Amino acid sequence: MSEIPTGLHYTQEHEYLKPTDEDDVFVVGVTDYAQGELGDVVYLELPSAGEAFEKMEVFGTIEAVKAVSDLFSPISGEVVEVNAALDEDPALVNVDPYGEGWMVRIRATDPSELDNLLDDDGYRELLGEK
Amino acid sequence: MAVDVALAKALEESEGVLRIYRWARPTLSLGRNQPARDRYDPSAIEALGGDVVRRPSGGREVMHDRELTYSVILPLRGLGGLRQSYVTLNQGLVSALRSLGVNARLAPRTGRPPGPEGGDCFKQAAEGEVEVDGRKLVGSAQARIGHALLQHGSILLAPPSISLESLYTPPADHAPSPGQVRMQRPHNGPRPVSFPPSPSGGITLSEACAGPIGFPRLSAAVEAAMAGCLGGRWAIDSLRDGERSLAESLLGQYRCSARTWAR
Repeated sequence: MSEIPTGLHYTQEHEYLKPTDEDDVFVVGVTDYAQGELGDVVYLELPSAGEAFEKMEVFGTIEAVKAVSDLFSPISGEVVEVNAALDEDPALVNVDPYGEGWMVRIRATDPSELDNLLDDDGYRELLGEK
Repeated sequence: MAVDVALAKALEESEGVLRIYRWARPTLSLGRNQPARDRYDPSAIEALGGDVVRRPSGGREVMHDRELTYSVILPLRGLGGLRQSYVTLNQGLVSALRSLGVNARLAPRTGRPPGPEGGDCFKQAAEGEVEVDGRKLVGSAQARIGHALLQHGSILLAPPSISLESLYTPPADHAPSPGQVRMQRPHNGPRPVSFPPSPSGGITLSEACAGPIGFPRLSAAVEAAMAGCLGGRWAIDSLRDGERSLAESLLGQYRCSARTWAR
């Protein structure tokens, strides 16, 4: 069973969106299920702060020993911070996907898009772990 | 590459595709994120009649020459997800090779795998890849393309006629001369008693079998084993009109030199 924390929003493509203390700013990363499926993450291509993305637009790529996958933005907005630690240690995505393995912080331009994302129960159901 | 991606983009939910092919010219394929611009000399590849393409999948470089390339395209969760599909498909390849008398197996985990900058794909087998006596025989990589999974890979029949080392960009203070570009011509004399080892540290099928196995025989073995491990009904088919036009629309992208050498 993979870890699916409560209070986060999830996409069908296995990204998560985690609220922060700052209004409309969210942390984006891939879920524990996704990192487990991908295997050892060896490379990430992430955007720079200031770049803007539409919901479900590709914002980067993740390469693991077994597979390459695009990363899809769960929400429309502007990147305000990128996790530079992943440059040196992409394995943080495997070790701590919801913590130190976060990828970008995004300032949402349309928070109503959250309504279309899954909650933890919905994501658990998607994975067939319910 | 364009056809592999087109098949993935056009895949229907209840289908799977196994494609087996070889390349018109010796071709160096680069991993999607692999740095190559400072490592390889495009003019050396061209001078030897070779070609270069950047794959949609990850991993490191492969010289496609005297080899068989396979591609499997399946719905993303058709085999239970990326991890399980990797195991299932590689077990299918092991079955194919064992049917030819090759003592192939899935490689155990031996530490954290190298990143895309790591060099020749055949240098080191990652966990779950196909090896013989600790030497990599099949180089495989996956890409998630929309709702499809593409896994493709290369099985070396014999050492490539162009070595990767001969394509390296020379050091700035060491100008190349034609004599330093090495090309191994096919052996036209009596059959050698033993086959030359793969220069990469991997192993070729000829070496693993102590004798030559041709493309048709390997192709038939892969087809039979994959059909067995994936199940379902299989039919020989050609590209459909939609797949062909999609592949044609992607050709420019995969032929674009600026894109190939972008990193």
